[in-house]
Amino acid sequence: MSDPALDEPLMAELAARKGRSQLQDAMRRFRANPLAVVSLIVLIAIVLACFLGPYFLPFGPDDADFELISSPPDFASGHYFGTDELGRDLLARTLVGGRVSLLIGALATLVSLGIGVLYGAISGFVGKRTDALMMRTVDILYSMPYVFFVIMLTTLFERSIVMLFIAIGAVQWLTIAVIVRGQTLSLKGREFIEAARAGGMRDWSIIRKHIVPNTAGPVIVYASLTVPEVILGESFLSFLGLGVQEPDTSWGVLLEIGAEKMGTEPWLLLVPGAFLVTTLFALNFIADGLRDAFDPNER
Amino acid sequence: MSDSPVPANPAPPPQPAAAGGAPILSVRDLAIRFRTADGTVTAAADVGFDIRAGEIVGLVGESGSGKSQILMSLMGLLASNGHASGSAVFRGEEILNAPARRLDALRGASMSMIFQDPMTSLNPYLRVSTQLVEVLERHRGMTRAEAMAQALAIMESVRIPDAARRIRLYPHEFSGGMRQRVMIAMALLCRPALLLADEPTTALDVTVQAQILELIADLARSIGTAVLFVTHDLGVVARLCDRVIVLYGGRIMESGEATDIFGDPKHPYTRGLIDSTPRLDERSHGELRTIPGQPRAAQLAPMGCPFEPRCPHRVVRCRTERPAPQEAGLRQLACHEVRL
Amino acid sequence: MLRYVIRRCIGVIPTMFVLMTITFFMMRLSPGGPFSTNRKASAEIIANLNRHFHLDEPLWQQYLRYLWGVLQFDFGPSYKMRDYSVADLLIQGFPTSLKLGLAAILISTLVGVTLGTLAALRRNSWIDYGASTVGLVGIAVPNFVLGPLWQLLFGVMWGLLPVAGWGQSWTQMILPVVSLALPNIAYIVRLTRGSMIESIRSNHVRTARAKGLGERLAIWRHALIGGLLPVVAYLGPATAGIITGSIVVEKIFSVPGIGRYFVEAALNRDYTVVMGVTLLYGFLIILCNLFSDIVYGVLDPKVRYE
Repeated sequence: MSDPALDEPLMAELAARKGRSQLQDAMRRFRANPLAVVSLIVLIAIVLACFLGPYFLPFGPDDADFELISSPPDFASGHYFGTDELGRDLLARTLVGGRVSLLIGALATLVSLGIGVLYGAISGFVGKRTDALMMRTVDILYSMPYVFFVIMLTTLFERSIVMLFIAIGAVQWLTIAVIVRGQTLSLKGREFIEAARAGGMRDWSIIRKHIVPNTAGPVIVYASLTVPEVILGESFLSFLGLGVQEPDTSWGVLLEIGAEKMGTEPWLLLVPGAFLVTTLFALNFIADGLRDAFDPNER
Repeated sequence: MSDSPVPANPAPPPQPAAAGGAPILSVRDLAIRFRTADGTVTAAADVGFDIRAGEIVGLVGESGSGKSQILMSLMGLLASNGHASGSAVFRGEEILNAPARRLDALRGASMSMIFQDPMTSLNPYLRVSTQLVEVLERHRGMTRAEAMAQALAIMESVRIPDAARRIRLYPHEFSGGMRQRVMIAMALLCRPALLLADEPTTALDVTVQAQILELIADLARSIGTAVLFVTHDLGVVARLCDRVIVLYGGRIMESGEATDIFGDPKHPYTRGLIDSTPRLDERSHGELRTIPGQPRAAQLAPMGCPFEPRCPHRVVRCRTERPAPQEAGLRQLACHEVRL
Repeated sequence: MLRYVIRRCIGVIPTMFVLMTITFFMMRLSPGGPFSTNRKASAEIIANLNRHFHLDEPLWQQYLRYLWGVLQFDFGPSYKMRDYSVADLLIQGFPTSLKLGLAAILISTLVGVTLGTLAALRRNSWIDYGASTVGLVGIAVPNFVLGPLWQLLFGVMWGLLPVAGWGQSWTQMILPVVSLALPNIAYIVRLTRGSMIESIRSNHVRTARAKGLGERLAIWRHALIGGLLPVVAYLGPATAGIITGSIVVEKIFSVPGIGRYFVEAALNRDYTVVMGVTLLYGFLIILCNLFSDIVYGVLDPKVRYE
């Protein structure tokens, strides 16, 4: 009654007739998804605005305009999004804060990808006791209160941006490791791995040349889900005052200030909030689009 | 529920599977189409056949020839993007695209189905007893105790050893063959007039395949259930079936009594199929023969004979003109070149 | 069944042990110990303090002393609020945090499962689109944006609900609980919808239909368990999410729970309080994981007998 999946041979035949590779196929499906494409464009626009925009603004993020303290959005003064309690231009601060948030999102995701893919591939490929031990470790780490560890770390050490993304990246790798391990297990039995082994290829080269590239699909999908999560994590910590510290700024820092002044100067909350939320929406839609593109039968 | 009270044993008296007897199932002009991202795919077209009470009919064809989908459409279980047209009259009642309420009174009671994959077709979270008992509660209005007794009896009749203990277990505690026995028990609980079996042994170990098939045939014969067997295994058909329908590319190529089809195959595709089946009872004449080319699976040829691209006897009009079915008694044939 | 439960409970012990060990060594990793950042204290005072807090003992002895203490719910004194022990602070804040968290998790499970199931059953209906919207907003709009926004709309602009505070009126609970529950509702809606759709399509539900059980039984008896298993498995992580969220929500709405002490303690570098909260919440998360494991085992016989 509700099973749009056809006979497998039927589907396979359909795909085979078109003669497309998995990646091309996925990209074609992604491009056919208007929401995902629009989100990608929005995301690119935000990234460009954050990294290039500040050079074109008349105000720097730290320039205080003492005549216009806490002024609402105003076109006449050139402060299109208003100023904060020190008279600093909110747009400039939001864009510069976005750099930090976006960079942390990208870098921490890369860190966690690196650790996760390697860990998962080794665990799945080596198998047996090693695998059992490595996965039990992941199990245990899974039930750790990682946010609290991150906060503990930021309490114990100087609060710095580097600390922040090491902490976030180091805990986000668990799911990727589990996904990659699963993929590796199913790849391990396939003929081309057997062939590589019979051809005298070393385990390490097999992992690097055959296993890792073949897990690309799910890893890309999961990575696209991790980026917004990391950005959220950074904003969360900064909102609590435990992340990025003034005079550096990020969307989370701006939001904390905005939340306090929300009754009298709502733009301080709404402007960085809008940037953060738009970015998160775009990233989530892109992630959804990628997931549908790589795994069309899921939905 | 609008469940008409069903007599305790609605099965018609067993009949010899001869030409006589009025059909219990008449399928006419059945076509099945799926909407997909790549357009409409036709899985079957112009399918028509009859099944008489107590008869065992084999529906043969390569995978992707649409045979499973024919069964699904009869059970009202087509995927949501699938649509069946034509007609299928079961004991005087139109069942194709019938409302779910009507179908629910028939399904599991007077027509039931055994699926391909016994590993996933049983509910892993419920005891086997629950899954058997609920059928009798639903269709026979039995109390739990009565239903339990009958469920136990049927578990024994499908030859599950230690049935009284096993019936309390969960499906994952059974082997594949045993699970398929449970499925058979479940399908035959209400002594249906028609059993649809969708390649019931392909997922099983070769060693138990034969046992399961014999079991289905034996039980069906003993309670007078007609069986529509979907398979790609000609050996099975030759051994068990009274009649054979040969399907290619979603269309019927040839049909007739099993002895006639195997004794004197007419259609080039049927001949190819029989030639490419290994035989144990004959000395091999050398290489196993195959039919050249790939099966045309998803999409039907817009016109002409679907087997034309692979047919050794094809002529020009095979590509453009659909062969009209020739009929002689119970035998049917769709081919331009071969005469009945 | 009992054996499964016992095995699971035993399986929790190493996890608890790892939690305590990581926490301990993180504390000891801190550059120069807890008092070195404390202005310019004389060497004598530091030595006295170190002796008082047993920091002069060998590491293994400190570790055992600490383990023994934790097992007795003794997390030591607060370094910054001298009159209080960490346990005092935890006990003070816990009832409030518990009430907030329980309300949020109950609401998010109930609403999430109901909405997700309805969306799966009526795909592409208005309820499906509604559920997707909730799912999206809850995941993409963090509660530290939504919380202040609720305050602005319901408190400041429309004056319908109290902006902040706790304990004077039940209406003060509404905004914090909703803010805390929403991200989880979102996640559970998505999870339930996806797994229910898969479950409805599964072969054994097809069998149920083929048995003529009717759509209602096919769904309620045959599709629901499989469809809800991922939600059960998510209960552990959900607790973690609720606890994490409560830190932010308590800050925004000035709720006097553990979360607020925690943030203040972290900002003031009150190590023992931070450690105590981490341990308490860590244990809580581990216990919730255990609970969800056991429920999973009750529902899925395959897991139980493995």
